[in-house]
Order: sequence, then structure tokens, then C-alpha cells
Amino acid sequence: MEIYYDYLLLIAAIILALCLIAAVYKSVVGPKVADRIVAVNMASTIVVMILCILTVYYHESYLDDVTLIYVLISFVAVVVLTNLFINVNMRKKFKEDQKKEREQ
Amino acid sequence: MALEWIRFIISALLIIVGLFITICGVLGFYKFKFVLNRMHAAALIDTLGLFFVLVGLIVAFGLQNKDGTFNIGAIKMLLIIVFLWLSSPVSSHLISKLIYMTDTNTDKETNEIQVNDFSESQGKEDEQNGIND
Repeated sequence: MEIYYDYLLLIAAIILALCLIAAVYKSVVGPKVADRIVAVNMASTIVVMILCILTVYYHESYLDDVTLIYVLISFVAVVVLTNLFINVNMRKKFKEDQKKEREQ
Repeated sequence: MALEWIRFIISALLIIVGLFITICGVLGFYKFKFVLNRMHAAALIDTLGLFFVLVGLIVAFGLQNKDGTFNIGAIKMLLIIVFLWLSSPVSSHLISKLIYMTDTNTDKETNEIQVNDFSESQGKEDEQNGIND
């Protein structure tokens, strides 16, 4: 019985790894910043699935703790990246407005 | 033995449905042209795909260990589902805010999609009513 579970989990992990490669490729070539952030978010979700599959495959429940921390860190990464790019954009607009005022 | 097989089939079905939804999400991310559409396809993986895969894994893992003690790993997987369901809408909201602040073509992109989705008769009615102006 164990061997069927092993085959199922291995095949699922391989398919998810292919999806992960596709997501990481899109995060490299994505034309805009938002594309990249969405792709990174997607990739981290797929990594969470793969870690949970490894938990069941090796029968080690400590890998679940790793997964919980990974979920928290990926959420913080998205929040920090979006806030960073919003602030950069606001500063750029502010400087352009100042330049226009000086020219006038 | 029969119960073991039923458990295996249930977990296999749930994991296969989750994998199908994940593949659909990745393909949708490649298919759509604009970021706001791509976000819609990517959110599918965060909620439904993860839910099916992890519930299938919980069924495969079992709530009891072999020596009869309670298996805490399955509850941790449920916690992962709950946290991702809470955090995914927040991150989607932040990303759409980023798109609204940085992307200058948002109006054009959304208009293009609306025109493609509407049928011709709908467009004519709108022209008569002056909505497209």
C-alpha cells in the first residue's frame, strides 16, 4: 500500500515542479514589475504545495513547521515589495511635480 | 484492506483535481495579456488548488499515527490553508493597488477587454444611449 502512495506523491511533486519552473521563468521575463510580483507569489504557493507533499512522503511532521514559516515569509515579501514600489513611484511623481514648478 | 483502498482513491482524486487546477492557473497566467487578468488566474492556485492538494494530503497522512497518538502534522496543514486563504486577498489587493499607482495604461487595457467581451448589439445600444461617449 505504501508504494502506491509513494508513486502518487512523486508524480504530483514532479508535475508541480514543472509548474514551478514555468512560474519562475515568467517572474524573470515578466514585462512589468506587477507581473513579476504576481509570478513570485504564485511560485511561493507552488513551493508550499511541494513542501507539504514532502512532509507526507517522508513522514516527518517537522517539515510542516518549515512550511508555515515559508507561508508567513512569502506574505511579508509581497507586502514589502508592493509598498516599496508604491513609495518609489510616489517619490518619482513628487520630483517631477517639483521640476515643473521650478520651470514655471 | 478495502478501507485503505477507499482512502487512497479519495486522496488521489483530491490531489489530481488540485493539480489540474494548478496547471490551469499557470496556463492562464501565460494566456492572458494584462496584469489584472493574470492576477485573476494566479489567485486560482492560491485558494482552490492549494485547498484540494492539502486536503488530499491530509487524507493520505491520516489523523492518527501508527502507535495511536494524535498526528499534529495534519492540523498544521489545515492552519496553512487558513492562513493562505486569509493572506491571499490582502496580497491581491496590494498588487492591484501597485498596478493602479504605477501603470499608466490601465484605463486603455480595461476598455479593450470590455469592448471584446460585449456583443455587437450591446455596443449599439450603448452608442444610442451615449454611454460610450
